[in-house]
Amino acid sequence: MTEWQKMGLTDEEYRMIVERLGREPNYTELGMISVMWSEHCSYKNSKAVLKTLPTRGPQVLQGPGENAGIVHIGDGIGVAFKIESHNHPSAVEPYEGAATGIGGMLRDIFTMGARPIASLNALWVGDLSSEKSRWILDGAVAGIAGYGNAVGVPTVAGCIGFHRSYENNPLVNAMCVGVIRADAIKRGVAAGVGNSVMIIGSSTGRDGIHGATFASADLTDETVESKSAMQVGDPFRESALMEACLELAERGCVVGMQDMGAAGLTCSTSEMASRAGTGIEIDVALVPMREEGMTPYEVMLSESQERMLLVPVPGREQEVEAVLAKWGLHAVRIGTVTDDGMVTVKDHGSVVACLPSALLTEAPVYRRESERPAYLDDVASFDTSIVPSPNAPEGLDAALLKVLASPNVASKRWAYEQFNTGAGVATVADPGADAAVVKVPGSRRGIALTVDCNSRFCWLDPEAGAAHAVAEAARNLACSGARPLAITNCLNFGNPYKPEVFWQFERCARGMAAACEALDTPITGGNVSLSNEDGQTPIRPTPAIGMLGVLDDVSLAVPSGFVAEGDSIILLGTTCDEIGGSEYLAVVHGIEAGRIPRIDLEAERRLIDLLVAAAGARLLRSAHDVSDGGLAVALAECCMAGAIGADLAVTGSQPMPADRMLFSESGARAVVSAKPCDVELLLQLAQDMKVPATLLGSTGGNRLRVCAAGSTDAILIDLGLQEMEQAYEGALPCAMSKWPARG
Amino acid sequence: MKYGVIVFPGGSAAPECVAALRHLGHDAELIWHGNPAVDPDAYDCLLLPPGHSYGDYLRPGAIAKLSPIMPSVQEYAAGGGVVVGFGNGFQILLEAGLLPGAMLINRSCKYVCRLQRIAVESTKSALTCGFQAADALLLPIAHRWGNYWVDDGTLERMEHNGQIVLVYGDPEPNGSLRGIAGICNESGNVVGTMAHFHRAVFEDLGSTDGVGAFASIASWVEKVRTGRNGRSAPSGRSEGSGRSVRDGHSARGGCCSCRGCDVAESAANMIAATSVEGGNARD
Repeated sequence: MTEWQKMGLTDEEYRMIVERLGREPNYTELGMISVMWSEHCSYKNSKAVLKTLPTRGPQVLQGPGENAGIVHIGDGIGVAFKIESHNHPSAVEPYEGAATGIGGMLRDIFTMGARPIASLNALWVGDLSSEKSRWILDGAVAGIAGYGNAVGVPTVAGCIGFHRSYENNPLVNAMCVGVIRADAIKRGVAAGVGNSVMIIGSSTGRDGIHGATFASADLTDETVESKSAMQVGDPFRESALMEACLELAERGCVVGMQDMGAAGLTCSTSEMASRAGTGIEIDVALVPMREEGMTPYEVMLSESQERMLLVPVPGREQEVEAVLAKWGLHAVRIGTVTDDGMVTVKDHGSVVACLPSALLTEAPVYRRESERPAYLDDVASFDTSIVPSPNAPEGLDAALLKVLASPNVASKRWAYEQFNTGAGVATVADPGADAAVVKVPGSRRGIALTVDCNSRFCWLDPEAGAAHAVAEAARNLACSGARPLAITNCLNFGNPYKPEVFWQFERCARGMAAACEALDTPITGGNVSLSNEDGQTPIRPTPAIGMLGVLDDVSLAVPSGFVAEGDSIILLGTTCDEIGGSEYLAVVHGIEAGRIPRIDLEAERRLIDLLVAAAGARLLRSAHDVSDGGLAVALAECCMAGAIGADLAVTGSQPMPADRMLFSESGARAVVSAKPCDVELLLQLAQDMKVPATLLGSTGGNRLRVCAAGSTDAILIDLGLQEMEQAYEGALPCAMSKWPARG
Repeated sequence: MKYGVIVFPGGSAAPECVAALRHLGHDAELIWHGNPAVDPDAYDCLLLPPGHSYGDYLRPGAIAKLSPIMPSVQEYAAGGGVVVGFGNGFQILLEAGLLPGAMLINRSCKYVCRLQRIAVESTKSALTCGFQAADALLLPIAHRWGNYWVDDGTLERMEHNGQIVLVYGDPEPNGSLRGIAGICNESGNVVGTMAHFHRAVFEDLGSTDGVGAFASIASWVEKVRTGRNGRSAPSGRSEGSGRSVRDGHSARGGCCSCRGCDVAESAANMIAATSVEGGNARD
């Protein structure tokens, strides 16, 4: 194997480098190029597809290409937000992998000058019957808690999905949200020839060298073996660095700033120079190091955490040093901004690497081969009409309890009770709700946040599945009363060199683009994580959607659970015979197949508009979207969240077996409750806005009783709250209590 | 009422404490932990906030207890001043020896954050004197080191003296000895609890059961001022006092000129301004 192959470059790419450089690169330069040309840093295999996603809108202050996207929520307030993966590190060491994932996201936000006010996370792991999956989930959740809680930023929402394809390659996606005055945004530019270049924060060690290359390859025994020391997080330093950076921004000391995550100094120097059209010259001997005898190669590729590259306003270097010293951190001038477009690395004055910044940041762009996967022929054509409906009510009761206890549906309290959700005294709705609602400092406004994806849908039909993911996120926000504004996405897929995987990627992007257009939620950035496989099985396509919405008045926020006895319960939208790909079909019948529910983006749009309008008119006492587990689960969740029972009658778009009415996962639906005196107004509003609305029944008692409309003696479901809670709340703690099984 | 909220590095909840106190109509300012002296007359109560001072490295509170400000906190308490610690603040008070006992890691070894049922057991302390014994409260907790422990002899003395002021209801969260959620010293002026009372004062955040604790502190301070608790009254505000921490620096709203407090102060103002019922919040 040649050196460049060991670093993940192809022979063709190496030839390209030699040609563009006009000479062979030396070892240090080769390391720098290879890490910048990894998929993780360059998006070389995904860029062509990403270009097809909608990224513009009047609300977008900063689109893709910077450390984070920023959206205007009104009153001159910007909200910076971004999601990123830390999948491969979390597979090897779940605690530190997840912890440093949070740390990197926080830095991406305060790099822009924004103060982080909330974190979210999206996790996918294997089946919990596996020891390894329990070990990964336990560690990842503890890592998010350990880091996020210590920094003091509340973790307000998230999602956890389970499937065996994630057993060896879990997904750990972290999202962070911050606020900033729209006129005070900082960008990662090395502008001003002659300006100083400083490294601030922690010292540099040998941890995480070639982390980005590692993240871009399949997760096999060999790649795990080749991984150098893991990055290790230090949340105490992070909180100090955060305060220091925000102070520098506030004082006006900053020309440009960028955090050091993947590819460390190499990435931050080349990207900052490239954005500004300048060059950077640094001397690695000046970098504060925590180990002796580090080579320039190691310094340039280290992924030590809690570090930033800073170009200060000329003449204010000492002020920067003083601020950092107060927080117990380094601030050292390591070089200057130049006009030659080169990243020049010296070691004690002698040049050890000299590369055009454009060469580093402009990797070749590939359009990979794409082919419809063969598995779809079997699974997508499955005829769900042969699935028998269980007997009413015993069989359906049992089915509901089984779906409620399915880890994908069950309460995630086991995880989110480990997160400090209340830090900052601004969290109005926490992870138990459809979307988190957080008060915005200095304003009456609130923001609503959610992250989610149904990867079974995406596996069965990538295009419609990705559109469903966007629509569901928007419904979640709208149920909380917020108007959806924009998206950050984390596109987790398998190895892009496999045509079937690339096809999934392309189709998901297509579906996502259509949904974003229809719902007016542009994508302001995010992250692509490919090669999520253990060398054999790719993960299910998992385009995680992180969505941001705004409430003009945070007191308009609507809870998801029922709030009072005697309220009327209304279903918005229509239930169709669509159990293909449903949680019910998977856990009750053991079948993961069939055609997934039809996506109707116009209907989704109308439902979202209605929910926001009704919340604004204070017509809703509660609102909860219908998704995983269908109407039955949505109703059970509303009852449990409010500790109030319900008595109601359900129906469908046409006559259909009872299980279809209860468990179909048809889109564009929500369960809302309203005071009886408001029902007429609400139904009228729904009619005006062309959303089907059906009065189902009313809240009260301590049981969920569902019958078929028109035959009130035909009881379909009759379950006590306590029984449902046992299934719903008990599932995850029970599965995780098998830990620690590992010696 | 004027509170001094001490800012330790990593003590991230100091700004939210100030925001909560101002929301309740109290005066509150931040005091940087590096200050070697606190003017005992400048504050009616010192609050040690929750957070993760020094990243909880070694043990929560083990490094913060060595902060330059701690000897004067000791003095302030010895003079009868009210010192209250929530969460990490409680842990610091234990480490500093201002309260008896120690904290172990939660029995689950996991962080726990939730609204917890907590009962008032003793009304002897400054934090609980306004409640009735057996009052049931719903209060936020958020910690990984809240498993309180103390030796048998001390526990017996504490029970005898009414120093066990708060106990957890079901389900208990962390394995604490006797379900202890909060304790005070013998004279009741130093109180520590894992409950985040300050997070339970906003109408839109789930519980307002914390309000009573701040009313308790106010009435305790009032009694002291009128001489009924044995300690002489604080002699007015600090303006003009040569020993004042505040006057030692050119304060711009914060306790001193250090940016640590300025940054935290602006964060506190931002939080205060957020409050929907903002009428009570001061700028």
